[in-house]
Amino acid sequence: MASAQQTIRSGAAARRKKPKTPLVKKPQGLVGRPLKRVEDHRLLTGKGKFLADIPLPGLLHAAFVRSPYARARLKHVDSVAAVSLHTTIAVFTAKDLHGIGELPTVEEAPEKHPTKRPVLVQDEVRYLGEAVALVISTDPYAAEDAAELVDVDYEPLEPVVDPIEAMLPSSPRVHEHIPNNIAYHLKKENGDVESAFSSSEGVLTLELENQRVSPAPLEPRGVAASYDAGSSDLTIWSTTQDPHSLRAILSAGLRLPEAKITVIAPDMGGAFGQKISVYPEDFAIAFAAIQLGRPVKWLESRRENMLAGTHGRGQVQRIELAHANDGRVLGVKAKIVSDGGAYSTSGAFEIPELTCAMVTGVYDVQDVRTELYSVLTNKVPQDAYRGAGRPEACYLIERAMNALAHKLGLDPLEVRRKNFIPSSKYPYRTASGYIYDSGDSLLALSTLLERSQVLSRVNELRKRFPDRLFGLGFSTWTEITSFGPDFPQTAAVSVTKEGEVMVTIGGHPHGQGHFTSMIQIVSDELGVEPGSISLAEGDTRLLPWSSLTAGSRSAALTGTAVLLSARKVKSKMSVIAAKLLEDNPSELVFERGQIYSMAKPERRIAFKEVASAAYLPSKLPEGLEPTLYEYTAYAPPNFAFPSGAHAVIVEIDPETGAVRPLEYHAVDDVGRVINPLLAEGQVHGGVAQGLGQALLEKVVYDRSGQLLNAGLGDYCLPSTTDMPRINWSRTETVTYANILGVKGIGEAGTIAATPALVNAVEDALGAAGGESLGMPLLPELVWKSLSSKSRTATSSSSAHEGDRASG
Amino acid sequence: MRKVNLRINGKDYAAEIEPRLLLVTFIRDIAGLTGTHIGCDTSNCGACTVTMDGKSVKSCTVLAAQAEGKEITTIEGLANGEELHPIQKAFWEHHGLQCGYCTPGMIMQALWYLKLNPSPTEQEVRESLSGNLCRCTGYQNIVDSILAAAEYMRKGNQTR
Ligand code: FES
Ligand code: FES
Repeated sequence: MASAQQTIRSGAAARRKKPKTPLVKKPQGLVGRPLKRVEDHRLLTGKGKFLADIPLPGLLHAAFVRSPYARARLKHVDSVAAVSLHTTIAVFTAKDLHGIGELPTVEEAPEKHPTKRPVLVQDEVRYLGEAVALVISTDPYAAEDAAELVDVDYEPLEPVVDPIEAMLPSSPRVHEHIPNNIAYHLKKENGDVESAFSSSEGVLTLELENQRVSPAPLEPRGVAASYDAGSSDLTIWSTTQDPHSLRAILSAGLRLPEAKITVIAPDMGGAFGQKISVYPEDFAIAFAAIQLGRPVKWLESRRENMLAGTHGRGQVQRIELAHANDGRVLGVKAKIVSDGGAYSTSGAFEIPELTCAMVTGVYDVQDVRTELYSVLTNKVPQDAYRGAGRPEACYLIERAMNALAHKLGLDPLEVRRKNFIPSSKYPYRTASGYIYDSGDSLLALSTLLERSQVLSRVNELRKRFPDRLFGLGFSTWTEITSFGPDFPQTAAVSVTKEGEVMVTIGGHPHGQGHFTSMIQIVSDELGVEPGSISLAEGDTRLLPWSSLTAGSRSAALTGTAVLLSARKVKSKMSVIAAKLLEDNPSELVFERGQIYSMAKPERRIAFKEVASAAYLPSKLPEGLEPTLYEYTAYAPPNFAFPSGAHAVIVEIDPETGAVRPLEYHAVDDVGRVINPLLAEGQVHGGVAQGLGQALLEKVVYDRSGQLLNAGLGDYCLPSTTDMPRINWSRTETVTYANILGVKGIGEAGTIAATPALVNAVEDALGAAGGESLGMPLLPELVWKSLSSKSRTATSSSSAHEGDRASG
Repeated sequence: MRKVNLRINGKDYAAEIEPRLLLVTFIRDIAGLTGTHIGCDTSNCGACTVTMDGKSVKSCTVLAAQAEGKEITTIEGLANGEELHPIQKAFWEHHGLQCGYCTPGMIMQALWYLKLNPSPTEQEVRESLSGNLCRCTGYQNIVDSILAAAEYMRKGNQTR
């Protein structure tokens, strides 16, 4: 039997046409070119230095004793047996943590309730895996032995696991002072929603669940600490995306001045939002190192990561679209109940807020009401997972667009086109008050259709293999990136006497390839070879402050800070070079390690020579400060809004219900791209995570709050054989959000892929008369839907599975 | 405690170990070769993959004592001085890594597989990696890297 994938591939090559007009700009310098990564050599040869790899003299090893209950009263901790092991150095419980503060929470406001979160459980356990005691041993295996010997007396209490149930007055309270477990309630309205609804020709209602998932970076979390009692300097090595914030929060919690704390983020095996939060373990390990006067390291196991590392997503969503019968959307009402977990954290409040704010996606609708409930449950706190709030918004509106098309018997693409914000309306103010500065969804979609030819290809497949089930799904997505202005991203550029360029950046890359992209920017600006530029990051001593690496922000904001710093260096070097060349500083060109003026290109001076002069005050023009070091803290004036169109073709095996994505196509407008190789890599990885949520991933808790899939054997990440090939290309509209013109790429794939895949499965099932389904689309669910449909001829009341749509 | 002798990347290591010590712990903590990573506790992720007598194994699933007298190769044993092994080179050229955490395991798995099957199809490469997880790359560039490496290695063998 000919494979569907073969058919598709041969068709692809034949039909791919060149677009008539170039849709992206040609690169001039290194920026825009697929430079291979400079960070790879060490990683390829096993010389990376991840947290586990960092040697520390006299190192002690930590293990945490974690609650086996989701909710319990902590009655007694007996560590006698653990302490009796000759390898045990210490056991700490809550009462041993003298003088240590609590973990961060939110600020109190009307309908916004903070909670108290101790580092180790004091009286009440609030989620499965919450840390109750900390064991320090001379050996990592012995630390685990000792942790098992700690005898904890719990009185199990009834937990609340489901966020909708949690809102019932009869449910247990996760925190006594918060009625109905509603930690945060927010209602927003723009325009005249009631009249949009009353004057519409119909209302489409859709209820969805966006399930909780684990970010599951391949390297779990970890932290090491070392304290110098003489100088009272504390050094922390942590798997963190946000070293400076960790420093600030530890300073407050440990009551040490920030000046005495250094946070180093070593090589990191992915993060995806899970390594943003400051965790109990960060506090506890730092405390132990100070108390014991010896370095301590804790490396999280995968099981611990599943239990105690933050989860992402977790929303119960309801959307109503007031519409005309031609498919035009006139008004939107959305209600989000977000499963925030056991404590009020900024992540659990702000992430679903973003969902509300982005719920209209790329569509032109102004009469919008959103309502958010962030609800406490007995689960590990919710925080960012790649996209953080925007995938949930995109899923909701993109599924709703399909449901509306289905209801009205229209083509889902037609419904989208009718509602796109027309390109003439940019800059466009959304109902939530954002300004989309540029974008062109119609162009992205038409480019996608032209380049991928998915419409004819799925038809061809259906014709060729009439007995098999194929589906085609789309999503036209947008997101918000470059958060600011209160998250400045920093960088410094210096040039040594020998003309070597050193770039320092804040935040902490962990797979994105910042070394390479930042070097490209600097190389273009200063006209020096990439090989003469080095980069340092991930250490709070390097720069006074920086915000985090997250939210598709680094290329745009760190890149801008790097560019501005390089420009400052350049202008200072221009002044020096002008003096040496006896020329005008404003007209100098920096190129291939040489500096010259356009007017007299034959008179040149080496970049290196100018750098050396900068260190000799006698050679400098009057009043110019010697040395070359420039710093920039960049606070973005506006957000950026990348967007695009994705399509996926799936095949469903009717025998097993297995869904197989056959091919994936994406056309994204992410503004200017610094390095297409890296950008495309981000899309590949993002799409894998988006498809993972659609097809495989969900943290499954039972009613007692036990996590049923706390390992990678049961919590299935997409593997090589689950993933289709991804064809990615771009359109480009100009953004002025930053001088680089970059919109951001990191989360695009994750945001767009999930609804595209579910829409494709719906299409396949629709063709077979199936039901619309929830995520993850495990074979069992799909199979049941198929077989229940084939039974509906005899029974009209077949059970609903998954999500419900009604008109 | 018992004494074991392990040969890793052509070098002998002798140590008194607990019988329960995992090979991956021996490699990382006793031999100090930290290029072999740990990503799970259930033998699912493949980050710890090394070869033992030429065959790929998940070193978190082998006891150090079981490796007594065997030839172990880790990622550190692959490059020839500064010269990358063709698989390493292909990963670089095809952007087959992002965070690099899964990479040593992927490469060691490919090393074994390409010996078994020097001219694999894309699907075969995918299947050969089904026990190695990557959360960053979506696998496409990893698969392309290994296909390219297979070609380099075939060509290299012809010219030799
Ligand atoms: S660490 Fe060995 S398979 Fe995951
Ligand atoms: S490159 Fe990060 S897990 Fe594979």
